[in-house]
Amino acid sequence: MNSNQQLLKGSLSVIILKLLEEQERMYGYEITQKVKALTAGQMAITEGALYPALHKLEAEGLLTTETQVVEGRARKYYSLTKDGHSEAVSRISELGIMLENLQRLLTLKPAI
Amino acid sequence: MLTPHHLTILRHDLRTLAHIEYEEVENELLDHYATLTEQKMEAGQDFEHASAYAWAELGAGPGLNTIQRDYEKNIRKQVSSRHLEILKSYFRWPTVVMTLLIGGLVHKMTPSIPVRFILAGMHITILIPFVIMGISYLKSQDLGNDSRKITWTHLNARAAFFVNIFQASLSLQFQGDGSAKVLFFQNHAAILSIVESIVIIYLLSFLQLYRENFSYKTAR
Repeated sequence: MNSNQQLLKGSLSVIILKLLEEQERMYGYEITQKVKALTAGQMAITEGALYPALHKLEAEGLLTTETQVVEGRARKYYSLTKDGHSEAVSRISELGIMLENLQRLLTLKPAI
Repeated sequence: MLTPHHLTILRHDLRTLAHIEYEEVENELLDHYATLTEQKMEAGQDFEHASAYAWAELGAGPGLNTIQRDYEKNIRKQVSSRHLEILKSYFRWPTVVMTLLIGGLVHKMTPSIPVRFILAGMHITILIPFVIMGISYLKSQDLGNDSRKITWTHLNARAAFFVNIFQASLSLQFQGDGSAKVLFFQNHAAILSIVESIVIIYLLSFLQLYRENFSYKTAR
């Protein structure tokens, strides 16, 4: 696993919540493609990480699902619950603060 | 777009190579597998090559089976956490008071009831947990391949642990003579009735949990 993927795994639940905040409902494959497109292929979510994260968020009551038959097969769409919306806001803001702090640390100039 | 025959082949891969058992996991992975395959086919590959690439991209059998194991773990976690909630709602002060009252009542009444009736009563109460466990066992057998069987089996194993502790307490032997034996008998009957009440409430919590119907469906 490269460092990009490790970072991605740590913030996967926030990424899912953020994407679902932007788009009302999404299915698994769509989420992987969206991440790939938004990061110009720099980041890729593996199925082995995505589905456990989706199932965990669903178990926590942050996501709700609906199944629709598309092209002869069942497609499971995920969307945010009411709790999911407020949790998304709070987790995104937490991650934002952490990234700001990380940025400060990474741009720290050596003491003269 | 894939034909129904193509979808059957992909579904077969999931069942035989990745050992996917649950309908919900299977449907989700099938959609992903099929979409990936379609994408490769759009790029000019034939179905066989496209599906082979898609399979490898999905992590092949072991990778997909990990998703299923994680799914199972998640469901068990949900069952346990819901069970804890039910237990908390059962074991509130009215239950505690009622249980202690039963114990006190049995303690007071034991000397005035003929021993054979008390022993008969003890044997009947001992059988109650077995009856509840028996019902749950038969229920799990009836379910055949239904995934709820997994929830039942999981719950049965947990219940058996507590029932066994209770049964172990019954192997106590009465010691001493005369009043010492009566007092021990009295205390034993009182403690037994308290523990019995707790075990019955505990087992009933499993029945309520099961009635809530966890969404566990097998693929076959």
